[in-house]
Amino acid sequence: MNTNLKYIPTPYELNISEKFPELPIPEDNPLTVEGVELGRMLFYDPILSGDSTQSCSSCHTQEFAFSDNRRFSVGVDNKLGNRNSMPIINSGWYNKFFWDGRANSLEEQALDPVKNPIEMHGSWEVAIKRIKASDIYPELFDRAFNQTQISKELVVKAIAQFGRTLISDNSKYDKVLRKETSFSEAELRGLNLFFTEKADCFHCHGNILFSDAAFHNSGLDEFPNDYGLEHRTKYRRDRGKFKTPTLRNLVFTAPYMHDGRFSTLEEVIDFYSEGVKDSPTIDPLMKYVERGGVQLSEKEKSDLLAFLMTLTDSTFIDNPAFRNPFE
Amino acid sequence: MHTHIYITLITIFAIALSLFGATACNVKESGEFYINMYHVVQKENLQPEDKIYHAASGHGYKVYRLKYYLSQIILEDDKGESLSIDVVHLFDILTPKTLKFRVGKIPVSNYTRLSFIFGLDKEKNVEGGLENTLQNNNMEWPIIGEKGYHYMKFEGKYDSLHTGIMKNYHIHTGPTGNNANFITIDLPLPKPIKEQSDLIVKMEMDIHKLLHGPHDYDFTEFDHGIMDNQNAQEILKENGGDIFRIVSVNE
Ligand code: HEC
Ligand code: HEC
Repeated sequence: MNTNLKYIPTPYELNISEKFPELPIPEDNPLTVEGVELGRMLFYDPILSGDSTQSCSSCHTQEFAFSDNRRFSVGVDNKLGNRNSMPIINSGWYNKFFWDGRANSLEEQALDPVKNPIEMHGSWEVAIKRIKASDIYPELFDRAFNQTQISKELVVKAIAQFGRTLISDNSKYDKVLRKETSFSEAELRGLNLFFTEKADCFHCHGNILFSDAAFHNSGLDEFPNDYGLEHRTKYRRDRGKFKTPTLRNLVFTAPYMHDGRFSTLEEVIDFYSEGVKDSPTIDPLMKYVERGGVQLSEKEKSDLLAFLMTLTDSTFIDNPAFRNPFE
Repeated sequence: MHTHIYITLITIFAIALSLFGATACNVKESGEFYINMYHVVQKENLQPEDKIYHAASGHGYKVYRLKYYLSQIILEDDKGESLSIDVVHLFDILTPKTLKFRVGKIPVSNYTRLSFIFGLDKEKNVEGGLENTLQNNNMEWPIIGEKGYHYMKFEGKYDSLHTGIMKNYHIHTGPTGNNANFITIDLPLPKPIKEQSDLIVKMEMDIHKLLHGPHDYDFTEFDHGIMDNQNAQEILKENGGDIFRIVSVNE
């Protein structure tokens, strides 16, 4: 019944480093200036949570590259989750979301936290009612989607649009690829470890996203507590497999791993070097498992760390377009 | 997935066929060409991750992942005309939709031979040689000085001491130094079972053959990676020549 074409949304222009593949955008949810702006407001607005205290940004904060700095995120009822919040960086290129890949798009992903009892613990019905009753949102939905019929589908479309703009492509690594600067000696040695079979990080973290977005058991535990992918698939062979996280902006995303068990990158590197545990589902790409890992010297460890630091993009955490619009 | 197809010679066929088509208008001039790939270990259908297979060396082995490029297809018909199709496709045993490869539209003819490159030739196997997609990005061969792409990633586990203790193997093939290491495959096409304008080739890759004959691939020797080991690359190149078989045409 909507014949109101009062507004024509403005296409949102993305300016992405050419080393990145084309950003896939769903046909039924094109990026528009109005949609992205609405998504940003909803992302920062506690209106979606059960007791109106929490927003997406409570656990996905810009200063932490849209992750949080706690081991486990705290939900609205002070309920502690069992997983470390994931950063939202270049997520538009993924087609599997969450540590166990239980969502297939950013739209589908955004449906989950609102009703999740250990997160925002609300209901979509209540959230939509509140949005409809607000002074600002009906007009914004109209502008973004030519729709005054606000639904959860439109809410997640807007949030997903904002999510797709959270692009980090301006680290030192990117600048070197664009030939705007060059690596130091230590960084270059680290890169050689990372991208060869010596430290062999690249078979899982090697592409431009620094995540193959696939699921691997990287050998954290002989007997994993959290079954990871197995929760979703029910296959025993998927025990302890988790989505490979990006390595971009690691300085901002501590603690590390699905359960935030490591608080520093030194601990992470020690783990890959000596702490890997064998188990029936460990990934075949993990090397020298029988010796506990790839066995790096102290110098190699610091070189590898120097390389990982080149993935830091401070323009990402300072970008005014990603900030809380209510502040 | 995008596949760019540049069909040379197609115009010749098209002209010939349109002349023919003018007199016999019920004959279709072109059809779709598909390659449907199946993976076996000896005669058995591959069961990734679960099933243990047996290598001649006595090691048991499991297959976890297998991805590889097929490119540069050439079809030859019974009049000796050949049709080259400049195409690149990535097969991935864990992504079923990649196994039904729609090559594109081709003129109808009696095709009698099919050849292709298992891997990527020298021109394509360079940095930026393929379209910038995430799939291709994931296949990059980032070794400094010889950048390009893995043409195959084959990963799994083997029984190291014949005791049931499984160790990892990673058979990653790609360019080393001046060797692009691709393999040219040339196969006769059997007579189609059904006469139709589409050409549907059912093909099989026998993973066991890749590990055997003429050389037995030694999991223990090449334990921790072969990306800069031309000796191992050479063994796989020689073994890889006869791993593909055409099961049927237009079944
Ligand atoms: C209480 C904290 C919390 C809140 C609130 C929250 N998240 Fe999350 N988020 C998490 C945690 C923890 C994970 C990982 C959960 C898992 O894998 O089971 C996650 C995962 C994600 C991911 C997946 C990233 C990837 O790479 O797979 C996205 C995207 C995301 N959240 C967006 C949102 C959005 C949008 C909202 C608001 C609608 C939101 N989150 C609200 C804690 C939270
Ligand atoms: C077999 C694939 C694989 C390889 C090889 C691999 N990783 Fe990972 N990496 C993962 C997975 C999967 C996780 C998440 C594991 C979890 O939480 O259970 C991860 C997590 C990480 C994290 C934590 C990121 C975060 O946000 O929590 C860092 C840092 C990291 N890896 C660095 C490396 C380095 C450095 C190397 C090379 C020495 C390496 N990885 C090799 C798959 C891999």
